[in-house]
Amino acid sequence: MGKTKAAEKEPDNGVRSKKKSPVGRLLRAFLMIVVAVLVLTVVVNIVINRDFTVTFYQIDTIKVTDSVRIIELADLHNKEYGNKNEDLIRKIKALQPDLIFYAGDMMNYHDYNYSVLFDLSDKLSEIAPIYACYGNNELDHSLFEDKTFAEKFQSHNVRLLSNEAEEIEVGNTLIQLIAISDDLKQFDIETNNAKKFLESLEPTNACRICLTHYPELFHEKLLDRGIDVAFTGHAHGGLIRLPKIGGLYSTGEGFFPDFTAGVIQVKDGAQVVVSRGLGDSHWIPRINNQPELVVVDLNWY
Amino acid sequence: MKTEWAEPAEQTESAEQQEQENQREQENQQEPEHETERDEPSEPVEKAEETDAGPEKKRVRFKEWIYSKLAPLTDILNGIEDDFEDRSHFKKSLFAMFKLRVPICILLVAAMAVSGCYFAIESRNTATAEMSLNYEESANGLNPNSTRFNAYELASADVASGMLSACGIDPDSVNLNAVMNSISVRPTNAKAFSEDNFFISTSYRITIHKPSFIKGMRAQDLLSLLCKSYKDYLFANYTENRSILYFDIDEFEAKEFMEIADLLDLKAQQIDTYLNTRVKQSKTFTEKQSEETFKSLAQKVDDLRHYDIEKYRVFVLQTGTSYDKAGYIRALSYINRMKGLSYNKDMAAYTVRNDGIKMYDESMISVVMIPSIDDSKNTYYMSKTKTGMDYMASQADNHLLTAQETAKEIAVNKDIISKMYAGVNKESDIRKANKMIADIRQKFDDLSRQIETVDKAYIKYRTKDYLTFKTTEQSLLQIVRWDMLLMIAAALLLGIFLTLWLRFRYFHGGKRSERIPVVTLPFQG
Repeated sequence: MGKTKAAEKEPDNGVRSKKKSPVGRLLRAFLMIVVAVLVLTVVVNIVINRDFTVTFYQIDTIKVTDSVRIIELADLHNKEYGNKNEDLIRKIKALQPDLIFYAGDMMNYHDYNYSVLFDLSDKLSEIAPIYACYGNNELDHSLFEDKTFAEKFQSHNVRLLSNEAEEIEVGNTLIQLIAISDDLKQFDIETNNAKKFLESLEPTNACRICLTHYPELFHEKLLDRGIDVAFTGHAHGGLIRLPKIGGLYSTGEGFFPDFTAGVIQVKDGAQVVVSRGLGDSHWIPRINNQPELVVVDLNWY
Repeated sequence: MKTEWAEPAEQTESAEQQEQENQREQENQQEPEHETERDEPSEPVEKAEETDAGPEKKRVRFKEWIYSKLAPLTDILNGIEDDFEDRSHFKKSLFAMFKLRVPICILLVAAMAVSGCYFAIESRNTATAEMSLNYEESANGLNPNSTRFNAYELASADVASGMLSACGIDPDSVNLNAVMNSISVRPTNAKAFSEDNFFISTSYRITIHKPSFIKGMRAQDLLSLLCKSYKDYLFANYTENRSILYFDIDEFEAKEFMEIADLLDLKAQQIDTYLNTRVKQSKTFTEKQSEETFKSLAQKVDDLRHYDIEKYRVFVLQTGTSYDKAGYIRALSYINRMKGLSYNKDMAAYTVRNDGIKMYDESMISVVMIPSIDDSKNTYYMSKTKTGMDYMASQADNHLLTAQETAKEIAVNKDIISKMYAGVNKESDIRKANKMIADIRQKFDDLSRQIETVDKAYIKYRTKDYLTFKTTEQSLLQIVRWDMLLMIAAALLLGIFLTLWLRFRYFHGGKRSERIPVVTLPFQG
């Protein structure tokens, strides 16, 4: 006859039964499944993130006469898509932009290999005019490593703007492009140019577009400046994107940041485009956050 | 006593299996009632012999392995069959489902999870939006310019090509028909489908299924580009044209300074007319940012016309500035000669009609009937009350008026010619005249932008953008298609039930029964 359940649980001659409890087995199985799912997720995302996706946004503003197409590249961090970024260049050429914006961090601090960025700029300048602002990497690099970086960069047909404005005419549409170089910490420094520059800006009938690396400036600093549309990056999409929640972490805003991806309409009505970026600058893998090339069509209707 | 896990009486045909079953039966007899010890059913198949395993042996071994895995299930079903021998197959099947509730639940959850994943992936390739027509004419099935509205233009070749171009795909390099077929447009109002009801829908549901050759973008993005392409198409073909507000750069090429003055004046007149039409539509509309109205803008155009352009004209006249003075004078003289001929012609026509009126005999009035048109009915009739003189008097008036206008133009041209003769064509004057033109053009450009901004704001206010597209984010339940999942679960349950019923009905003890109907007596225990 078989033993009863109670008898089975009792230790035999003081020796613990080798059979684990069902709860323990379940827990172990659950943990194994979780680990397997995590590993699989990371591997799948690493594979997916080797390519970029194209995200299209339609923005309405009555300040434009005809449709204006702007392509935004941000946070490339010297990454290459194909040999000398040929995949990226081919895609941008096919999309026929009117303007190309670099929203900062196109290269890496301490990295003297400029060939990726310069080769890309040479090719893209044949497609449309390129305008760029400083990201934290470019700014630090040009301040502390290579003071001639800006000059070299501009010699590759890139108009690098730093706390300054420029008027651009696209068809019958007049655009006033303003570029801000300072982040949240540098913004309030008395000697800094960004604050003074913004205060010196006069109202305009032109469509005012702001190019800055730091989307968090739109929490307060860049509000009520008459900006119609802004192009930003920096947040890398919040690294890990959770469904229905959004990005998990960004260096500018910490955990659960507000500005990680998409078009966000801020309090004063400005529409802030936040790119998830094209490259990486650290070891944390992007999860559910494929690198993206942002295409924005400005339409009046 | 027989347990749930008892072996079936007749299990296999092979001698090996029979032997194994006998072994297991012996084991069962030793420990007959202990369920817990049967958590993991014993492996009936001995470890495979690695050597000399022919294909037939392998097949048999595989079969045995399958039987061994299914043994617990067979045990349960046989147990039910034995315990409920006198019950109907329906009841047996229901009881078997109850006994197998845990594996059935796991199977259902797994099937729903797999199907849900499939539907979720599939939903990424499909996007839907609702298009609403907001302009007044849409209720009559018309476009904003009163031509016939056709919603199916959304799936036309032009719109599909526009969408592909916006995606960065050359429309000629793909099958355009496949793209057009992937777009579907349906009125959202069910009444629109009725043959008896001539209901005109003003909202449509647009669905696009992303074609397989479009890679690296979401269906939602493709839909937004389709909407943009359709809007471009609608605005280019069926709405008001504002090109009048802007100058063509080539317009001033090879033109004399005086001709440029006329062109600038004409442009100002056209813009003024455009603005006056808007003033009639809405006198009070104010654009929020600039606080401009159509009336205030019309005043600015008026100022430009009567101050800046006139100042320029006077300057050119006074200084006699010209690129080619002799050529311009020759051209004006020629124009004057032609105008002189027109003047003489008009005056002659005027005189002839006046003479005719004088010759008209009063007695003819009561006799002659005059062919006339009834404007209200748009029909001809012979009038007794009208006289030929009415027509002649009206025509004489028109000819005189035209002649006077021509005489005025001739006088102006003569004045210009005399000023040109008198003026000295200085280089500085030419520079100044060119600068004045550039200033006026700059003012025109600024004004045109202001007008356009106010105009767009007005159109947005009046027509709410003519049409709007509303894309709805799908909830998780919609993405995984919960209704389909429930149907799959129900179908699975039904399938399991049917399988069990067939098993009890036709396969008795794991073998096809002799199909002798089991007679169940009523009220039998």
